[in-house]
Amino acid sequence: MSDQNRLRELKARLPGSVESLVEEFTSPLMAAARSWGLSERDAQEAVQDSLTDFLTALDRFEGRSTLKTFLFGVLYHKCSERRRKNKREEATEDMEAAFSGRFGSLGVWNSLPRGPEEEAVNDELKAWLEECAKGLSDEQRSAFQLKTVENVATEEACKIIGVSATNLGVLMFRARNKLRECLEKKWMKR
Amino acid sequence: MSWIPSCSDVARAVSDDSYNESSPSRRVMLRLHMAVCWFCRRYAAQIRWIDRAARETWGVPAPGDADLKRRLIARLRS
Repeated sequence: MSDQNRLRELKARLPGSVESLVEEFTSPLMAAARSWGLSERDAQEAVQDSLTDFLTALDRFEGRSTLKTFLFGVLYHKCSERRRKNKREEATEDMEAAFSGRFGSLGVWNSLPRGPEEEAVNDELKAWLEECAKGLSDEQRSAFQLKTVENVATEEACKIIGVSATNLGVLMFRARNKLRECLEKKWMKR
Repeated sequence: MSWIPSCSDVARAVSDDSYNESSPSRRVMLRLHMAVCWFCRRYAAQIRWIDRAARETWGVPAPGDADLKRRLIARLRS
């Protein structure tokens, strides 16, 4: 359903409009909240609050951004608040130095990069990924979730996180390489 | 900047999503490098795997979502 039609139905309080909104957006919002490190309970509260805030402000929603961008933006800020309350420490290792260290003076690989490439994504590898994702900062996790999992366009992802397109590229670079380095360490210990 | 991309140039372009957004001439050079560099092809395959694994891990509804949806609908309609 297009955003325009959905908003019209919601504003008219048509039967089934709230159900349709919940059906379409709950799972993607929950997946994002979980990937951003919230507990199941905190994730459910954040998603509920995001949808409630949207419906409360429905008549003032002007549609300048897509509905998906708006909802993910609200959720992003709620998740950030909760993570600050839980006093989670941000990852501080220098990804640029770690990445540069993989290459010699001519920019050639020092050694073969190793890790899963063609393997089926079984429960063990999912668990590795979950654990490695804990090493990402809030912004890195958000960028990676929005671009890779939710396939949000660059411009929309930039609005949600509040960064430029260049910075979004940097976030994606750091997120992917942190995950790859972490997975490589686990892979080599197998 | 040299017109011949190095392995670190290619790896950066693969991971920051600029690989397919580069200028046509740069895209040709990146692809030529990828065609002859086994190490970079392995790296790109690992990045593709990470993306796929992320979608399979975080992009699917969890078993508890159906119950959450019912509770949300009840709460939002009240």
